[in-house]
Amino acid sequence: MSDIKIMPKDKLRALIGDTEETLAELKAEMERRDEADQAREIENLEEHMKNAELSLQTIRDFFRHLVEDMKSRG
Amino acid sequence: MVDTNQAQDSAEIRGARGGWIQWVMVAGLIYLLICAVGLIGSGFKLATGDQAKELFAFATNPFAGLVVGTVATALIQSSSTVTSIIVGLVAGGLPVEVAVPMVMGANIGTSITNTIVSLGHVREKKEFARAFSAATVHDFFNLLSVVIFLPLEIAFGLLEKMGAALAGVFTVSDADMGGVNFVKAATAPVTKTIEGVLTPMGSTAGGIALIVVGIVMIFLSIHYVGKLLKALMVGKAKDIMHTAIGKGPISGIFSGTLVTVLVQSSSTTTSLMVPLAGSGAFGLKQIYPFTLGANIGTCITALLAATAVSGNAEAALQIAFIHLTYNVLGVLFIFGLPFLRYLPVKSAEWLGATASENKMVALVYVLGVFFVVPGLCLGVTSLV
Repeated sequence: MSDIKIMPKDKLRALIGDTEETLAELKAEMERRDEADQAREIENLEEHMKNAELSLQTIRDFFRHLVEDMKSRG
Repeated sequence: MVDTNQAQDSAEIRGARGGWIQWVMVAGLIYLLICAVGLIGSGFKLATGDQAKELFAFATNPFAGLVVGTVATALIQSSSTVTSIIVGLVAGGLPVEVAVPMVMGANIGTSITNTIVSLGHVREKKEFARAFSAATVHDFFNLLSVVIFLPLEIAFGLLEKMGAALAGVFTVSDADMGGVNFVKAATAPVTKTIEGVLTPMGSTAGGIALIVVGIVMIFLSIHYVGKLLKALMVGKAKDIMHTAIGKGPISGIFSGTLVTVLVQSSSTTTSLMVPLAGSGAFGLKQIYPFTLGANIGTCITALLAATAVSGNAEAALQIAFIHLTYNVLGVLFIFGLPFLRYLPVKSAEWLGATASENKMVALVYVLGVFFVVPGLCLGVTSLV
């Protein structure tokens, strides 16, 4: 990119076009992967339903962690 | 090969038969829920006579009503149960204006469930920040909704008027077709039998017994309907959520509403969002519309319950419609106004990040918002 200041305008224009196209492709790919991750998580909905149930164990674990956290802070 | 196919076929038949049995159980439990709300109404009327207003005099201060709704729901962990009980009490004579802040409080109280669920992610810092934000975005939305609509209700009776208009329409055309309420007629054998057993105990004791039986029946029916529907509807919920991927917030709100209607529990829908956000697959802005939809979807239980009450049936239907109107208006107003739309998201993101740095903040938040602050408010209002 060091020659950017001496690059002819038509070449610069073509480079911008290529970059925009690549950016759009990258964004689309990122979106596709995000949606694939979301679809994968939804496939585990049965498991999430179980984890989403309230349990005393969750509260106990939280307090245990809280005590550990406070001890480590001194 | 033939044996395998036959085994598969018989497993499918057994599954289908099991599914039918579960659906019959769901129908039976909803029937019991409707009967239970009727019993609470009759019991409250019997126990209080014309003194219902005096009995709830302490809650005529709207802040007290709000606190009662919040704490009761946080303790019972089900807004559907609390709003169904409120519908029954209104049918029995509890004034609608006293019940409105209670219904608003039920919205706040129900969000404790997903907040506690999010505590399960505490061991992973980033995951906890995401999960805690996903849970508390519901709290912030509900708190903001109360901040906006409670003053409007106190000043103009906005929700009360809208609820009355809607109840007026349905009482005339649907619930009372030609003077015959079919749902009431269908529930009469159960409610009359239980009333026949308990009313000889006397008006006060019999009335209280009817209320207790009604509350236990509501609690059990909503608990088991929720469990059954979770198992029956998980596939459908998956399909709905798959359809909503990449479709934007409006689709998210509709999906959240639909999933909540299917599983008959807003806590289930909002708690489901916690692991989905915790894993990092869904961002907070994507989760947020689902939780708003859950607020709307949960109103169906109380509406259903209000169809069969005796006593002040129109007021019962009115409070059920107030719950629905309040939640729909909340979404339209807060999500509709760009400067308010992401206020709950920003607040929840900040709280999630702070709580992940210092876990004590999470504990102080849960105890403070759901118990200490409401308790203090109740104390102060009782002194005033």
